[in-house]
Amino acid sequence: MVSKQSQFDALVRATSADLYRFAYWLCGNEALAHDLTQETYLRAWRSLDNLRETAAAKAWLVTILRREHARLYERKTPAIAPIDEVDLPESDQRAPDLLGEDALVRRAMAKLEAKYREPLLMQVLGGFSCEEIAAELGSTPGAVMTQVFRARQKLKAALGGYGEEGKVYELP
Amino acid sequence: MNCLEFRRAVGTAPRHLDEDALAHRAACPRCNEALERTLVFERSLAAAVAIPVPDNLAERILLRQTTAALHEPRSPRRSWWAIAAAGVLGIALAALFGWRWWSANATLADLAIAHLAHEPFALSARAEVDEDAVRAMFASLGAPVARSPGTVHYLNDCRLGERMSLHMVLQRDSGPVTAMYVPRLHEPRRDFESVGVRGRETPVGAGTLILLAADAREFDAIESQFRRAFAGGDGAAFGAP
Repeated sequence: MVSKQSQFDALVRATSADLYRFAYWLCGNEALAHDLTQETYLRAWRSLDNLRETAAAKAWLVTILRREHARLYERKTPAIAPIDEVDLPESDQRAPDLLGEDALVRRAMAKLEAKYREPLLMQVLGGFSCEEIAAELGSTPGAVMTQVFRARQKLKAALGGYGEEGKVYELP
Repeated sequence: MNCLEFRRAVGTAPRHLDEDALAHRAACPRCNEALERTLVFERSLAAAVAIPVPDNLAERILLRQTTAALHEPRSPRRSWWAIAAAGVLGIALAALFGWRWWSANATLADLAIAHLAHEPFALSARAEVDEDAVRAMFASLGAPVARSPGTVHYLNDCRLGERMSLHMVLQRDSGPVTAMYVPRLHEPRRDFESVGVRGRETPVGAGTLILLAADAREFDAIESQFRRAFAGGDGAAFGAP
């Protein structure tokens, strides 16, 4: 019989890195992302009995995190810059030439409108399907497919121009 | 599947192509090349969004959680009445009111009772909330208290209609008592009963305190505790008797 504590340990170790990253891309501030992640897991611990399926754990945590983030703005507006104005962190585990590439992609990502950035992050970071993203965002799978498609095209356009609206499918 | 459909699928979910798309890829060299280019971009995108994570993040999370859990009972099983009360409330409310009509006409007490069903796990909380955290939460909503209004076992800031409130649970001998404090709102004092829940609404400090429980015998004592918390003394000069 697995204890509640060991279940929670496994949950934290399996998901905390990606949840922190998702929090960061939501709020654009490392310290705030850390606090949001901590608060999310504390709430998750208190209602762990509600988690019935392991496969649903990540979506459940993202739901709590997004609610926590929304609460933050209900209470007060944090004194932080919009994400498209902040210095984005550099990874210290990649070669210098790739660091430069990361920085470009991060800046382009930060400048995406939230309605495009959030579903794309859920897909890329969380591995969610369009149906799962739609359920989380209160949208439809079709709308999410359009958003992630356009998000990629906007990123490509920002990074090199080859995703311009007129050539979205790269067909001759 | 034709080339256009394939490119749409690739642009939407390049890592989750279905069998039709994979068959088209095998049959169409140009689309195969397009997919390869897309996957290069996807790897670049995945690497870029994977920003560095703080050292020992998981350990820090677990430290905070285990610290909070220290005061929980060894067998934190929910008592049957807490689950039953939450279930009864949810069913009764769903059956009684159409949501739109209800939300437009609900009183503060209605909203508070409805909120119980949204956070049923709160009723079974046993860990004592640190007094500093209680005072900090009151202060964050612009209603500072000199001390905690008794031993609080659940604390959250929750929306009640258009207003923010502090949602607390105090475990007493007669069972859990939910206390919701709404700053900057003055509602007249009254006792009520609705969908099997006993309640009290009373002005305390510069706001309104709502008490909800299956048994009202602790209401007077808890109300006094809140008055003392706001007054920093015996609270005799505040609110109703």
